[in-house]
Amino acid sequence: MLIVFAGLSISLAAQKVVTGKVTDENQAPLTGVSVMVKGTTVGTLTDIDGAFSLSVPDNARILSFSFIGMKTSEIEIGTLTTFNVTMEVDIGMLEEVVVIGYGTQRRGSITGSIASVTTEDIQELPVIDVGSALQGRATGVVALASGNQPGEGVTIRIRGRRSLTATNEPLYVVDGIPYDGNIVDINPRDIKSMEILKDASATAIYGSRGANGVILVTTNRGGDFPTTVSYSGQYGITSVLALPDLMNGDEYYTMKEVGGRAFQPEEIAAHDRGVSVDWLKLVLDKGYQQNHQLSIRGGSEKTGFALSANYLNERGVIKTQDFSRYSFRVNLDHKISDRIRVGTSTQLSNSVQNWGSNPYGTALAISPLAEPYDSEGEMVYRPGADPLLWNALADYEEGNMVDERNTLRVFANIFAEVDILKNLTYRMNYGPDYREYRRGVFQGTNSISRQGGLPRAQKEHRRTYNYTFENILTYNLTSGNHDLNFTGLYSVQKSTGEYTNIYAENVPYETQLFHNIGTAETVLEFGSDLSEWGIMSFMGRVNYEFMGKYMLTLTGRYDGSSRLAEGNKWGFFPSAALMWRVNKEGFMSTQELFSDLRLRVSYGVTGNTGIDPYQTRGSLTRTIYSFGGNAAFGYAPGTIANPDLRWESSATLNFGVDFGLMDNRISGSVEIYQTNTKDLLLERQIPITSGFNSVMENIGETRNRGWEVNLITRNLTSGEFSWETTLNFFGNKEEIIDLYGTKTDDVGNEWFIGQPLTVWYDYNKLGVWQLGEEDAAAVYAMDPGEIKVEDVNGDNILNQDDRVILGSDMPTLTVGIGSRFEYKGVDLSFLLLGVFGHTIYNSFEVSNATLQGRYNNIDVDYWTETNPTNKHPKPDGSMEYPYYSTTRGYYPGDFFKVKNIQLGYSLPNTILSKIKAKKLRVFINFDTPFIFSQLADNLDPEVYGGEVTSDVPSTRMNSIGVLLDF
Amino acid sequence: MKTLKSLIIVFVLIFISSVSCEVLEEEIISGVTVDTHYGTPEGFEDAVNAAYERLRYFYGDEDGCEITVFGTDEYTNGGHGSAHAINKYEAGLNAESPSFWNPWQYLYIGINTCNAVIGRAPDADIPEAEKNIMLGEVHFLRAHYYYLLVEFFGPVHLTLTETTGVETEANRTPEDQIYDAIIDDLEFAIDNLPLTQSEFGRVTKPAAQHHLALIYLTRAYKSFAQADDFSNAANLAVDVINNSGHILLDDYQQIYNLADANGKLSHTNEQNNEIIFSVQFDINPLLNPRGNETHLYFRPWYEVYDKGGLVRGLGHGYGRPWIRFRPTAWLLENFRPIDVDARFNKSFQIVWYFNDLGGIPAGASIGDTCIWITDEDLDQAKFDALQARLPYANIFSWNINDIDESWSLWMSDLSVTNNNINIFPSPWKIDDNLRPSLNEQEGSRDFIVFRLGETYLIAAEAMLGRDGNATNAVEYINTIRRRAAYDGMEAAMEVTAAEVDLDFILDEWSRECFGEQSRWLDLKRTGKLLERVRAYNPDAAPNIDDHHLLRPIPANQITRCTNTYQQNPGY
Repeated sequence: MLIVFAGLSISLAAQKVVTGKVTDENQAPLTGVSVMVKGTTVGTLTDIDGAFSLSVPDNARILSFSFIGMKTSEIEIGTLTTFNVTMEVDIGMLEEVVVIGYGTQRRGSITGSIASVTTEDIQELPVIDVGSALQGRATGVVALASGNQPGEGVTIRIRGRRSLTATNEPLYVVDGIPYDGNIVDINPRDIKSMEILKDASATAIYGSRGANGVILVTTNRGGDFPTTVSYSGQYGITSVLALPDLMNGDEYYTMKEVGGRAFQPEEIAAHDRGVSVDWLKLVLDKGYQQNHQLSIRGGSEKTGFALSANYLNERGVIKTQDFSRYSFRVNLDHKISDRIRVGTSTQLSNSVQNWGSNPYGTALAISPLAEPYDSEGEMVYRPGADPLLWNALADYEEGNMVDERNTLRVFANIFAEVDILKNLTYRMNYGPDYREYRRGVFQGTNSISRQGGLPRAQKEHRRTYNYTFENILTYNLTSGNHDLNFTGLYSVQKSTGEYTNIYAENVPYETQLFHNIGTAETVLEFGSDLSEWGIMSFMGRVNYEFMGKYMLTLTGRYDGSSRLAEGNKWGFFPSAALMWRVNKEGFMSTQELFSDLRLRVSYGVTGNTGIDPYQTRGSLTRTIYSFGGNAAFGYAPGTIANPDLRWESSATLNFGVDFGLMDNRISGSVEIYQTNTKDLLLERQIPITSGFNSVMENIGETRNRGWEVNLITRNLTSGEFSWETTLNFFGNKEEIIDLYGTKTDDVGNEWFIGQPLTVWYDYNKLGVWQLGEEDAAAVYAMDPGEIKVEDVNGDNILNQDDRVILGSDMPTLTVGIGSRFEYKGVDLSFLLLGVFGHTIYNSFEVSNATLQGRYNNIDVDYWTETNPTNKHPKPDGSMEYPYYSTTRGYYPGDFFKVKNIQLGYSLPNTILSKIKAKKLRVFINFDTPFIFSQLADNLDPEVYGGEVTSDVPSTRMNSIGVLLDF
Repeated sequence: MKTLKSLIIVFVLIFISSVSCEVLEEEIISGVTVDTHYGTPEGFEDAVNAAYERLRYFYGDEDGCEITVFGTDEYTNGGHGSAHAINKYEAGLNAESPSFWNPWQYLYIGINTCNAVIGRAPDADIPEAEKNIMLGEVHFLRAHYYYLLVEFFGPVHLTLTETTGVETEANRTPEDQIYDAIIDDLEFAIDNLPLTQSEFGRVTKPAAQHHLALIYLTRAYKSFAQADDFSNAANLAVDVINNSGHILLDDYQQIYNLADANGKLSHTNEQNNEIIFSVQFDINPLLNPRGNETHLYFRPWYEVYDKGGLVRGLGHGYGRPWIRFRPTAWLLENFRPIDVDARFNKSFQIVWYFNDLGGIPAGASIGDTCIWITDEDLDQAKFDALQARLPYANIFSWNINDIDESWSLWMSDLSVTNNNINIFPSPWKIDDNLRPSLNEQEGSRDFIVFRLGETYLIAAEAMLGRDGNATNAVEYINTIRRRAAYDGMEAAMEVTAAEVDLDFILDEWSRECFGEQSRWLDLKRTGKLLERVRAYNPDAAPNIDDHHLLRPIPANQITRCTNTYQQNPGY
């Protein structure tokens, strides 16, 4: 504990006024700290700036500062009148202040289910987006890679999925303002904490938008403390995690021969010369990632500031793919008077993603007998005999292929707060969010996509303006054993999105890229669009606490959405939660095992309208035809009008136990929950004989049941050595309960009662028809060497009735294990992630093992008369892919990964003081060093949606970094 | 400080009032809805135009070609593509094949659009006379969509009203009722359509008459045929021939030729007097997002038979090859004698010349013959002599007598193991040299659905059916044949009534209209599918049987229905 003696004024009155300010270790003000004269009832709470003022009796001796989550400090008063106190986090206590929606709460008083990720977790990881930081760290959160392109980030699902077609994206709220879209634009190093609200009690205050969980992001702020300048930087090299084993020249030649596909003279000549080109090696390279951040925080009694600038640059293993982002943040707080405060959080970010093309896909397909360069070293654009396969390296030539995606975004929260009465505070938030997205594409004549055709250019613009306007009233009342807190909200959110696009062919000179499309000879496409939606809400919440032992939270939110038709626009979403702090009971005082024990139960309803605007109207689709060269545009019925669309709602029942054992050496929580979602918004496929393929409907009911265990153990704390382990595991089972009120399966949509929302539904592969089975095979018009699938109903016909459920893409068990060792200045941490129980579809293997002989192939074990394998069928040059080809692609998705190992060293204070630094830490980090999966070649099965594709290979990264505070 | 506080409060109140309930009002600015748009004159015209659009999803489309060209006496499969099973009537010809699902879904989408136009017409604010012409067009289109569906799939879902709510059930209406609906539609079209339309490509009265003749002719062979079907078909066809204003062009080649009168390459000749109805494609890519792709499918893999020096290009005959449809030996032999009947030479490209210096054989120049497919019956000596004369050429023969010679197109093991599977004469009628770039898929040639030459054949077939002999039919056949003759060979082309039977008419139909997405339907109509496929398509012959006369109902249709939607037998 650090005490700063800031003033020495002496009062001789019988009562004296002491003032001061309480901050945390980061110099951020602590609100609500209880300041008491020890042994008396004289006391007060610190205000929003951590300041307090208290008249104390002259004979008062000790001032006690206590705050949930902090170690209580006691300071002798003596002659001092000003106390600037820095409180230390009580690591063992699960009692820190936690951000909840529209306010904060002590961890100990929280009635709902909330997982937190702290600054430390985020800062230590070399992640470039917020989502990745949650991976394996927050219970109940599944964060899986959405793609391997630089800058792609992860897809997050909290406690499974509820909706089939409405969004399953959680709601992100950054500094109080809903953040639309992927949070990849938020710089993780600006983040102070993230809270994941999971149960209905926690999310109900976000009503219609809380059904998929809420992630609250709080960014760093300034305060009344000496200015701190921090730099953190990191550089890493990325490389491909695993490469598939493709056929070499000889293997390819043999396969083609077996498949009976005709050879071209060049191929035979190349084979005779022993040519075998490893195209993957030619297109893949090492990538890198660098990230630099400078931040300055500090302020005065009246004004606090936090400024930061960040530069991130990442280049992929496909060297034309990169991502760079500049972001700047200004967070300001100013006190106009004792009762009025204003401030802002503003972020400006500009990112450029060079999407590039995918020469990897071409490299997988191109024949190993085809050579990329001629004898003079010039690129051969159409190597090999196949007229469709362009040289995979063509897009690496400067200016041949550009796909640049630029996003500029300003996201702000401007707020004012007025203490209307002593206990009544009014807060207004205004959050404008402006996004400009521009995509420019240029495909030169020699690019892979144009293959010698005319060059094409495209420019696409999206402009989105959202605003959120909120009015919040907060009322606090403390009387004896009663603590009452009321929060009321009126909020409006509106979004306007515009889109323009033009796509043209035959630009006269290629150096213009997409910047002078007007010179193109032919317009291929042009268009524009406007999309608007709005939400209006009223919310009220009561937190009541009795004797510090019994807590009750009641909330209700009334939401209206523009996306629904008249009469169905409004929905009401209530919730209630109870919590009992068992260890505060008298009967617990005699035991020493539990240092903390709390029981929670909550029930609530949340909603979802994450559907596109205008779905309730029957829309028309533009058609294109012509008569003798005259344009004949038309409009055909496009969607069926459905004015009955209504809110999808989810009711969640949650039980939770929070505990601390042996003086919090072991702490954690256990939760079980059940979420029933009804009026599921579904894009339902219907018989096309109606003229429509699908319709949006409120149709069915789903249930998610799950459990979560979170354990933190401080294994060793003695002396200079400490060892802490975090374990979290959770399971979730997703089930369709009802469809259309009929409780029957909908095979056409592949929805089945009792099964998860998405299943793999296909024929069951038994093996390969073998020699000697000719007659049995002939029943199905099959031959030996072809894939043998199960005739489930035994009717001697293979048709859609023989398909079976082969698994689901949603994991049933997720395990995250993190551990951290510290000895003197050295720290070592690692994070393990295991995901189990799901089935993935390896489309990578299916599409690269067609055994057709036209394209190169994964070196699979294929059937021949002399190799009676059951794995892959006989090559057949006459078929683009074998019959029942997809049945080969289903694998258990279970995997176990070492996500991250990090070794760091922090310089001791003795050296730091010499260089006038507050902190200096260096580290080396290994990202995804090991992976164990059931896929051949240990290809990375971690992908959202469960389909492993040929897109861009997964990577690992080794990096070094430094963190410096002045 | 008080002032500041009140200022804030005032500001807030202004803000709240400005964001009143309008936030929740939904107004579609960028789009239009059925209810508001179809009632306006422009909207009604838009709806009519939309009814045509689905034609482009069947004609000139890969799936549409696969189910009409493959598995006939004319065409078998080349080395490429994924639908060989459709040709061979193998296991892959099943309910899950996209070759059936796509036409099925696209045609039903078209039908619903037609139903919407017809159903909303009474409310459309447009003069009655104009409205009825437009309705005539739409009735024709609906009839055409149902004709395709019922011929491929047998008893199918029949609905003549627009779908406005969610429908999850479908019926299988007996074929005869569907034919009644088709005939009603076409009669309406005939009654309301003019002889010509100001815009080329719109449905006219002759088109509707030709179509109805084809419908009567088709029904005439069925179990539910009416006694006067053949004569109705004949009368309608004769009326078109005599009174529609359409005439046969002098030169067969001009029907498909891209060159205008000055020999300049253009599409202007696609609007000639012989064409009764053609699906419109366009040179402007904005009007042609879904082009005529036939130029890809019927072309051999000529560019890999060189040893260098032959590449794909933009000139006539050097387009992009997808090697889907390979002629059967019968198709080519059917044109003999090819020095009398000009249609073989006017229809097929059999020579490719060197057109690129890269890798060209030493001694050869651009313009020298690189590939030649002769009709001659070669022996080794003749072959060697030819090779000596054309030292750089790859020489093949399509003469049936050369079967199993190394230069023959018809080797008995003509599977993909054999290079020769990918070489064959390429039809000129699909060639599209106006594509903007080498690999452009969206072709701009119109697709001819009905032309007067076919009306003559319908007339002949109907009269043969009506009369039981070809006395009346033969003159219609001979008119077509004389036009097809080389100059001076007209008499040699003529046939006698005794020579004309149903098979002869089908032979003539093939010589006149091969590969035009109607062969499977023609063979099915005349009851000759199994017989002729077994005789002339060696890849399909071993597998085809009775159940193949109906295509499988797509699995998507069956599984999405909440009632039982019966599959066709055998699938």
